[in-house]
Amino acid sequence: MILLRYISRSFREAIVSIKNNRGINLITIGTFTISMTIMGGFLIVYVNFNAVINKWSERVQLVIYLKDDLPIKDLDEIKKKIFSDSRVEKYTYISKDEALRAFRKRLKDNSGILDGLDTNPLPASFIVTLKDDLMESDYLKRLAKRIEGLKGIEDTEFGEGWIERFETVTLFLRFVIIAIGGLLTIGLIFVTSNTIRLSLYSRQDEIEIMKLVGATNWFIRGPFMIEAMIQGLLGVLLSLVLLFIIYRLILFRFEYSVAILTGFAHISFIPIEMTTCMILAGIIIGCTGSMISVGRFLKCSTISKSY
Amino acid sequence: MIHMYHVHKIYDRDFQALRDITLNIEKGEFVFITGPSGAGKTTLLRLIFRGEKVDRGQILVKGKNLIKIKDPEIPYLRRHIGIIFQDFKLLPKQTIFENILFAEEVIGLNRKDINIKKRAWEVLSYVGLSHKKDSFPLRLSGGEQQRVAIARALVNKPAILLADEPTGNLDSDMAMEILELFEDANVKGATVVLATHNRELINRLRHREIRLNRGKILNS
Ligand SMILES: Nc1ncnc2c1ncn2[C@@H]1O[C@H](COP(=O)(O)OP(=O)(O)OP(=O)(O)O)[C@@H](O)[C@H]1O
Ligand SMILES: [Mg+2]
Repeated sequence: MILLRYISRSFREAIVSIKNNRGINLITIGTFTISMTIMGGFLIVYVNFNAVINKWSERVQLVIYLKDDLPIKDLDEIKKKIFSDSRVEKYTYISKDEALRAFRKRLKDNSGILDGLDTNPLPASFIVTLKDDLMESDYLKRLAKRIEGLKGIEDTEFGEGWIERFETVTLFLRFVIIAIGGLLTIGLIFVTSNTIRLSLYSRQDEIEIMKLVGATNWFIRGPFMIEAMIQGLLGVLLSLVLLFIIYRLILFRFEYSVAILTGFAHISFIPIEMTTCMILAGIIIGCTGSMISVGRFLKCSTISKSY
Repeated sequence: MIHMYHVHKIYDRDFQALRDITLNIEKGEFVFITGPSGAGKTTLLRLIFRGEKVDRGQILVKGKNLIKIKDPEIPYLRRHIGIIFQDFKLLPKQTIFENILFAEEVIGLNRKDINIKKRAWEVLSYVGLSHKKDSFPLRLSGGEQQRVAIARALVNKPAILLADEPTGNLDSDMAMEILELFEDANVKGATVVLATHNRELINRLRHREIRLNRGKILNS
């Protein structure tokens, strides 16, 4: 009950403070908006790049060629080995006949050249697909190694080069996002803590009186924390609106060319989990910034002796 | 109520603002702290409400050892102490009634509660200002502002009243009126510590006097 009253009072005071210092508050909110828009832009690129890679990597599979006339026992052994791996999503068995049929189909009109064969030269095989994004080609390699050791395996093969290249790009993107995120966070904490400091100085006398009559530090902090949290929240919300407009107006037009380039037709907005994180980040950054400046202020402010 | 044993206060590393102060102020006492400018009167009061830390010695206020008190406990200490300064320290943008409510709200009371409002009104009428409750501080005379400050100090029923030169800005008639408020609060049970160099006040009310000079107690 008392907590509720403290919070509602803090809100009231915070809103008064924002109204009284409109200029500096707008600048702070604007800084949040710009920073978060930059961040969001990178996130959109990252998210979509990732999606494209996922789409592509679906086609990258591990192919296990089997020796001819494999005893059922060995075949089961191999199956068990593949199946027991928790990362394997599915595997398909392609028999020698199926392989030949598929080959024929691919040759189309020229399939006649196969007619002269009295034995089927194509091996039977398993095609293995991994779960999720296949970002770890190492895993695929290791799986191949393990399976190669088994009896009855002719050879294994997979699109290694492909994945590794894109892995580097996503890793790099991830790194860039973390670096930018870190820098922006520090910058924003700095900006809010400065804004709140100004706000603190403009209410110095009031704070002194609060201390005089026995206000706890949390009572004093409340309004300033809420003020900073409102700044962060509004800043992020504005940036999301801005990003969405940009997304709609600009990216939408390029969707067609992007589709041609990547074979992948949809550009998506920042997913809901990430937008939630951005909003939380805005609030937490505001909170941290205000805690820093209020903490410093309370530490060095005493009940003044002005005479 | 207030006990000091060999208390020292040092400013700027080597300036001895208070030296070897030992004093006891009992519950319900009325004590003047006197002495020339720079003697250390304000410093002494600031030690009592923990506006300043003691550098050496021991200090107990209302049973609390202020050497060992932790920062989060300080506000609760101050809720037992009403503090009054020469310059009133009122919020200029709030009416005097709101100034009183503010002091109640700060310690966790609900300013919308009718009993809380009633209490604010009562202290204002006690200092004779209920008819001006909607005025802003700067519209009031110095004496009236000081009475508001006293009302604010009294509203949370403190055990101790500290006043630093409360009549410094007032003429002698007004000063006497203010002093009577302290007298009355004292009669009702508050321990009063009042720093002043106004000899007239000291002579009119015969109370214990602690004389300071250059940070030392001359007599007690
Ligand atoms: N924060 C401080 N830093 C340094 N010196 C200080 C500080 N506060 C007080 N002093 C010094 O300590 C001495 C005592 O100051 P104090 O304010 O206690 O005197 P006082 O008796 O209240 O004087 P007055 O009657 O003029 O109010 C003075 O010489 C003052 O300059
Ligand atoms: Mg003084």
